[in-house]
Amino acid sequence: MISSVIDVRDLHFSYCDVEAVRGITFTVSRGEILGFLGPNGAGKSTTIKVLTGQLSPGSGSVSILGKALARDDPEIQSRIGVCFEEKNLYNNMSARENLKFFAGLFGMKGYNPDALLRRVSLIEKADDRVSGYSKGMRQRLMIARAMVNDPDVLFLDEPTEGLDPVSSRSIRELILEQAQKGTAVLLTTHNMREADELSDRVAFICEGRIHVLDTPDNLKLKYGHRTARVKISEDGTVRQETISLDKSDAGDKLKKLVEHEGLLTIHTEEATLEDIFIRITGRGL
Amino acid sequence: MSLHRILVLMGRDLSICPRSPIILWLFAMPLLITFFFQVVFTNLFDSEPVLGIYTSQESVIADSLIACDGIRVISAEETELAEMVENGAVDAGLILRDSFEDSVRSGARPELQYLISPEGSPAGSAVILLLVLDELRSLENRKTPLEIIVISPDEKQDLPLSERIVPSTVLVVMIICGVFIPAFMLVDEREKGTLAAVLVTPVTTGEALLSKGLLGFCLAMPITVFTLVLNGLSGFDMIALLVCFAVGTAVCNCIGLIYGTVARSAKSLYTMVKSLNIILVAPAMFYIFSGWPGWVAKLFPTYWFMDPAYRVIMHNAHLPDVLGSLAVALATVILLGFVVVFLGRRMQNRLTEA
Repeated sequence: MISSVIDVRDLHFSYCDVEAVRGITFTVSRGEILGFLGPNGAGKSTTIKVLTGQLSPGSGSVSILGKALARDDPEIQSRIGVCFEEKNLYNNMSARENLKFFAGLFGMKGYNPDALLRRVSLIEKADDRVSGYSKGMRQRLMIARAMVNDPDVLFLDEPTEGLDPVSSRSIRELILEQAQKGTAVLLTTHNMREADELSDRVAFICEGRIHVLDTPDNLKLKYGHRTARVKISEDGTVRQETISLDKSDAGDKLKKLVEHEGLLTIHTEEATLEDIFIRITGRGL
Repeated sequence: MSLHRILVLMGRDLSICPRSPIILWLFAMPLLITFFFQVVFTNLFDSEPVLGIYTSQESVIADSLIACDGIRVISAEETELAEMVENGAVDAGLILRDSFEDSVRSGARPELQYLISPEGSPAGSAVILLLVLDELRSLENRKTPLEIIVISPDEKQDLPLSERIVPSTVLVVMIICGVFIPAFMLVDEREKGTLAAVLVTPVTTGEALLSKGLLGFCLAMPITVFTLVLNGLSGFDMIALLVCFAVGTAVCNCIGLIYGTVARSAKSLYTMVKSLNIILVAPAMFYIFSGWPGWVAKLFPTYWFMDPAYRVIMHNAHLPDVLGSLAVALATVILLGFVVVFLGRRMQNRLTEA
């Protein structure tokens, strides 16, 4: 039994003279979703390209499913699924044809894509050409294509980028469903809310380095500030007060405000991953 | 290397061919090129010999020839007829003056003006001449007054332009299809990003490139043979010719893969094809314009399969006669194969670094 499905140690990668990945180390276990968070050019996509065998690692070690990674290794590539940021589907083919073709590349003879198409809600448009699909439909098909071989490892590069909330939600549900089946998922995103909602652990990557790697809750506890925002009506005007819940006098202050006649609202707030990212890396997404 | 994956890749490419305007254009190209050359150099759709006749009065010979099956007769004025003969609109021209038939009947030996077109079919003009002689015999009621000497041309410079152009047409079609199909399919997939998607499956770069090359081979070969049939070429060692075509198509496919791995976009591929294909088809020009020095043609890589094919078609050469040239062409395939492997690796890096 392999504990870490993805095991990366001190990975470096350079494009000519530009070092895109500078010694990153992490692991992803079976059924775990690891969110890779970082701004454009942070090294997220390069890391995925190395892990999916598209680029040869410069130095360091990478193993997928217990096997040292090599470029063009059919054994590893038959057990991974990749969803690219770019919508690189065969537009002049239908969804059904796209999935059957990719299943054929994985050596799955007589593959019936209907169950997968139903899962991504494309069964009714299965025979329509992809060129006529909306952005959300294409993205759902991209995810379906990545899952056509029922992979042990799923690499998702910005899977909900530019999608409407409904499409984003359906894709998030799919990702969670796949992880529950035991697939290790490496997810890159700019969307902190999405990372928070999906990821078991998140890695903040910036300038090719992982600055922190932990569960979202631990990060919030460690780096965040819990606050309560209180609105009070006084002498015909509305006053707002922010109380830090981490301070020792927070209880007394809150009690006093709750007893105030003019109390309008109390909202508790916790730090977002975005706040923590900015605090740790010193830059926004 | 998995044959199954190569076949799956080829199957997809073949299935989308009818949906690709570029590939459809390549299928239509033999018709268009043949049509163009036929219009320019020969008489389109004329499978039977064409005779132009000028008669100054009613003529028994003209009437009999018009009634003849197997030839087409066009009546024309004397000056017009001379022009038709010159530009190849007719295979031969016959001028029958007022007194000609009476002189023949009276037993005299009058001069017969029979004009042979330099651009027409020699076989056609010979057939017509035999018919004319037959009519003369009937008119005179005695043996043929003329001696016919048939000279079979066996040197390429002796062949009319219309015949020299046909094998060149076939070979040009083979080069264009053989180079363009794999190049276009590869660049199209790179541009749309689908090649990157394919390469994260168990498909290796080598398998992807080989599938495009084989696709080019499987499409270019029938298109070339179709062009051959369309141009009515026959009567030679077909096996030898198919071997020449197969080796030639393989050379073209390798060149196509080189184009496909080097070109960054469809636009740059078109520029490449437009500027470099002239080098590939250049040896064909040496057959069309037979006065050009033949040694120059040998400098071009495509010469080594074009020349054997030309010799098989035009001079009825057999496989042992052309093996030397084909061996050079095969060595070119192996050499180009190494170049494709090297450029394929470079392409994969560029693909992911983009």
